[in-house]
Amino acid sequence: MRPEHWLYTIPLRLRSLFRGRHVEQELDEELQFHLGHKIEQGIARGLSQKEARYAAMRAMEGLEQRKEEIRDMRGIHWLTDFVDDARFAIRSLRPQNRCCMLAPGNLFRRQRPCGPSSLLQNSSNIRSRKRIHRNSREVLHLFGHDRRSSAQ
Amino acid sequence: MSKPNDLVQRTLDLLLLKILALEPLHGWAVSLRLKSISGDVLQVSEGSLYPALHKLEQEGWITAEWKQTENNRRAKFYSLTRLGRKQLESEAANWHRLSSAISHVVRLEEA
Repeated sequence: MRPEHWLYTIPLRLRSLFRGRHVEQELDEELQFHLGHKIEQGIARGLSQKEARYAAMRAMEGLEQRKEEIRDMRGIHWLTDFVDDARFAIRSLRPQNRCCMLAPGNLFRRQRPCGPSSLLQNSSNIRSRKRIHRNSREVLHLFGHDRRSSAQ
Repeated sequence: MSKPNDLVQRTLDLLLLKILALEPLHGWAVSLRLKSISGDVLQVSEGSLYPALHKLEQEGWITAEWKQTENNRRAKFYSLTRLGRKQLESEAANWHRLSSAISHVVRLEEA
């Protein structure tokens, strides 16, 4: 490929990468502009607003599919997927980190039951009990409902 | 020889490059212009127009700019780049070669 090609494409790819939300907004605005004109054309031909909108959407053959196709053209799907995967991995690691932080606290509790970590643990136990209590009503209700429905 | 899909895609690229070589236009105007110039024979489907325009932009053959339309609406106007003009020349030459070859075959008289 010619170096001149990269002169145009590198700024576009960087823009897609670092100003992704803005690029997405522009894409939406562009397609909505077309859709608006198509609806106006349909209304001018005697269709109702609803019919014209439906016809315009059908002519676009699925707005989301078109958007996805255009996103593929940007050629950075592999990178954005990688960033999303990395974000997901970091997010899924977070609760594990919390467990690791609590683990020494649990060991400490065995020796000193009144320590701050045990207080935190106790308060969280109370909270979780409350949650169980609240949900238990629903469980009972559901159970009762289930019994009745099974009896019927 | 190109695959039929490649041929269709390249023909669409050629048509879009030619339309945009005449003047910068937004997507909606491109579809109208193509239809009117071809005497209602050629009409690019909305479903393929925007992916094709974005592909040309990614190739660096066209560039986009947001401007106000005559109705005071904001629209994305596409125009040809220097690289696009070169591509248009090459695609047009290729098209002439291909179409004249096809015409030559079609005009052959049957025995």
